[in-house]
Amino acid sequence: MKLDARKLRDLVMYWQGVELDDEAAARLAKQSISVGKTLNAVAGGSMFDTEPAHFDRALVAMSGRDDD
Amino acid sequence: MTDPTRWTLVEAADALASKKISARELTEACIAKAEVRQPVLNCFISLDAEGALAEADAADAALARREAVGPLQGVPLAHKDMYYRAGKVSTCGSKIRRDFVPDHTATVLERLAAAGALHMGGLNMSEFAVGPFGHNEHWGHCHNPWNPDHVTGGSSSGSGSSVGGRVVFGALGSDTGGSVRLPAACCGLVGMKGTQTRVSRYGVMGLSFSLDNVGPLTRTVRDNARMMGIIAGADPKDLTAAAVPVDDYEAAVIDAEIKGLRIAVPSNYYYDGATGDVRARMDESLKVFESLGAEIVTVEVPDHDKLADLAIALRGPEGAVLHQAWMRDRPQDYGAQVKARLEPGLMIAGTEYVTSQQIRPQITQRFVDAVFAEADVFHAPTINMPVPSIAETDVKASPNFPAIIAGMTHCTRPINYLGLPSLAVPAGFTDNGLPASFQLIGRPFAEATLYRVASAYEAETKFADRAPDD
Repeated sequence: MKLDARKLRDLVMYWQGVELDDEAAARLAKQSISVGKTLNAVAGGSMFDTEPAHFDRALVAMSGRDDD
Repeated sequence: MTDPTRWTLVEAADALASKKISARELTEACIAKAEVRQPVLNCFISLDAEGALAEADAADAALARREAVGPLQGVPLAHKDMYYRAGKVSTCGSKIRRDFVPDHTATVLERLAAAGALHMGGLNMSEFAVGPFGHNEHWGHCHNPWNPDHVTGGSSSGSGSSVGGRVVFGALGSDTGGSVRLPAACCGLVGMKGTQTRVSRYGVMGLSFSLDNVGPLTRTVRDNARMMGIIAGADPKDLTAAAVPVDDYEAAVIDAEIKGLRIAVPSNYYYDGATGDVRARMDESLKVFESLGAEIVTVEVPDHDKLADLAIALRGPEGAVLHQAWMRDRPQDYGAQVKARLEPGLMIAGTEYVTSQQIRPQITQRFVDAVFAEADVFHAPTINMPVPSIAETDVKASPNFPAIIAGMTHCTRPINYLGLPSLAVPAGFTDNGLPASFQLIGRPFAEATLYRVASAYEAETKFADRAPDD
């Protein structure tokens, strides 16, 4: 399916109740396609063993400190 | 006595403690400076001279009673107008919140007040902290103290302009994609974005809770270390604030020694599109580090082609949730570019948002492994082009605005997604006479190391001694 400006404008109005002009809809379509491609690529592996506190805990682990 | 507004924050605090000057005298000098500079810089949204003088008198009374006083006793500061103070208007740089009066006070403001700091007023900022240049359609553009035709950097525009313009001694900004480091870089200042969660965000306007950071802008590294040491640390009112102990940042900058330190520089991404004069300033800064005994190593940074999209997948929905009702009901009350930059959040899929959250530790780990296996800190430009003019960047929502913004935030935005600490440091001047800046990036919670390295450089180069009106 191709995501074009018109389709995107309809979706945003349906989901969010926000009206986009033509230029904004075209810009968003472009960005949505870019983000979708990137996220599809990085999510290639299984995300099964992850959960929301992962990042905060990972930062502490990566700090290499032993005082916490 | 020299003009006291030219002192550093630490010099001002020392002068007050030794009664070389009273808090009232110092505050009056800052207010006088503000009245001269405001028509040119437009750095304040609200200047509270009366309130600051009342606080100054209280600070003087405490000093006279020989009470135990804080490390910022009587020092005038001002902050981006998004730090809430109970009962005081906090506009968030917007038309929508022009009259918003919060019922609570930000933890960071309470901590600074407990350290004795005075509050001079609310500083100009990009509307809702969206915008890397510092433009504001509602409150007027903020101007660079080194050349008012040029941008201050944003979104903490007034923080950069007022501290750089020697009006106040330090200011808080916030950094979601570079908004502390960019104005610090453009205005010749030191700016810290700490490790994600290092500083409490309670009572601070949000834009993206996964990427927002509170940080100080100051004239020197030591000034910055002092402010950061006061505001950092766990907060029972903000459970996202890390419980990791806060190092003594100020101790790290005293007689800083970096012999044997390894500094990584990137072989990819950060210099894409860099101008010759920026490259020259970066090379000169590395030579200074080498002369101080540091070793320079080159590393390839992973995943940087993806980080902009990964960050949009977080910031977009988080910002859209905060703004959705106003975007629906009051779209006309947003600046054109701010609205255009909030809209992408309306079309990020839930799976994309969660994926970006869940993959984040792996992406950061890959960067940490690639860089910090080889080096102690990472060095890169803060902005890889000269500070642009207001005229060339005031493009509102014209078709080329995404590219112009991407250029300005090219070097800062990846670090917010990675969640790592980053310190912007003045590095001389580009060919247009405006400040240049590099950023030092460290492992999580390695802020003290960044201060130590920056302090060694600052002591050698003396860029902090230069002021716009020299």
